[in-house]
Amino acid sequence: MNLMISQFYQTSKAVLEMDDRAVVLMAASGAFLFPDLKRKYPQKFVEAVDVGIMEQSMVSIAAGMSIAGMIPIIYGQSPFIIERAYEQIKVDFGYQQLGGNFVGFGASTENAIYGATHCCPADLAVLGMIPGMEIVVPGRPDEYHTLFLEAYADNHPTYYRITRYCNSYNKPVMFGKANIVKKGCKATVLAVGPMLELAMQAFKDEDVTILYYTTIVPFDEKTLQANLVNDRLLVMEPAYQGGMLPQIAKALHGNMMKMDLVGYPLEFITNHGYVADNASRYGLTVEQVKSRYQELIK
Amino acid sequence: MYEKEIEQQKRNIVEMVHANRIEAHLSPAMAMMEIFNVLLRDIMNIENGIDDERSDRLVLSNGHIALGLYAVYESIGILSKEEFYTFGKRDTRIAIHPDRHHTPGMVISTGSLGHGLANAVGLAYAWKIKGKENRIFVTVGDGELNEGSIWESMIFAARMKLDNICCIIDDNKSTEYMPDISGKFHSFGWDVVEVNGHDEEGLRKALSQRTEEKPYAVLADTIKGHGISLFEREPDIWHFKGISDEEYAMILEDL
Repeated sequence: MNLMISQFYQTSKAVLEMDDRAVVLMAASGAFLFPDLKRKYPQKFVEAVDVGIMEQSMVSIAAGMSIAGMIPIIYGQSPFIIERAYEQIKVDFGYQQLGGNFVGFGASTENAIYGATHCCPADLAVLGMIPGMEIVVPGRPDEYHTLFLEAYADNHPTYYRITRYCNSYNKPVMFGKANIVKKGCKATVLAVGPMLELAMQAFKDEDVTILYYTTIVPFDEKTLQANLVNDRLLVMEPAYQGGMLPQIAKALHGNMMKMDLVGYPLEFITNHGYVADNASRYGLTVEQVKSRYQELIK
Repeated sequence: MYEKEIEQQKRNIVEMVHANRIEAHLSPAMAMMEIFNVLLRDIMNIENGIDDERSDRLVLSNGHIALGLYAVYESIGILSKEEFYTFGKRDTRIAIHPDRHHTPGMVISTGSLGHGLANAVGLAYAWKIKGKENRIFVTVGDGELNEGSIWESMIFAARMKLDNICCIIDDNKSTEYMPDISGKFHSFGWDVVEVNGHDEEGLRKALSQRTEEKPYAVLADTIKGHGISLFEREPDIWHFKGISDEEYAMILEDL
């Protein structure tokens, strides 16, 4: 069982019960997991279709509901609710300045067993190019719950990238605020969402500062600026490498810095398998990341 | 009934586009003039103001026909003549495509085809949940029906029994690839009435009807460029074009 999907269910149930404005929309994927919500809220828990998919129109319909004062929670596989419906998010939520919540599972390569069509490693980068869009990458189910409750009604379109790979690090998180996990002198490691687990395994005994970001947009520039050490920065993203560069470059204010990017290379994920199976291929083992770090601090 | 007003509106459009030396969606706008006049003057509940919460709503899914609506706005006092002449200019409230943050009466910004109907369906569904009684009118073009998202949202509207939405199809023959529109809407669970889009009485009758527990569509047979022979002869050329001095003289004579 994907614990964060289970948390999505619990959080959605809580929000539906406490907020009359909330409505959940799904494009077939996973709706069968929530029969009791569908029974209890027949009007506010909507499978967009009984079979098949219509993510584009689901997003546009959700925008119409947002115009009427409702708060849509749109749930589905990330490649389909984000990339397939990208223009609908851009125009119907971004341009129209409407609030809505996009909860995507199977992000990056988590569904690589289904092939490249079901992978979505560009999600963080492309959504970052929609003005007003917020991007949340929780690393644990409880973090998803906290961050969702903080942001779901803030009148912005917000993407929550949920994952089956959860961190063991367990400290309170806040929307729009990074955590300082540890402090050191040789480099700063910026870990996003579930990448913190790999960062902790690789650097727990190294003399580095580790920053943990669960919100990418709005980006916590101050925490990064105040915790840059030795002009060395290692960015670890659970997506294509460099998707966060616009936010980081803005935070650095043109300061020169030696930087390396850990994440997926810009290529289609065609070898199938699970994330763990593919780690070495994409340079995401503890040893490989340590090696990158050693190069960085030379 | 509104023949004189519509002729004046067409004259205003032509004069403004010529005077401002701009390009505009001329032939599409001309096809919609009877529809907009009947809708705003006789059908929509806008007595509290076009942007009032209690009013019916109009969504232009085929947003490029907005110029025709603006001319009606000017005619019924929503826009001044002076503001009508700001069409398409910087900082205008009446852009080539309507913007809900600026344009009077627009609850949804449109321009990219295939979005507006789905947005309107979402609004209609939310109103159902909230128990609101108003109607939502949404215009789509026959060419726009090629967009897959149109048919997705039609499935949803029928499934949710949205009888508060009225889709007006401006069948101005922009595409050859959309035969039997009426049959298609019927097969997707909508009630459809076919009407001559330039027959005011027929439009009034069709648009005042409501179905129960079914979404409703009015398939309006229109002529792209209607009423101006220059436009009617070459509707595609006049889809988006400016007006030269020579063309202006010909059009005025025609009107």
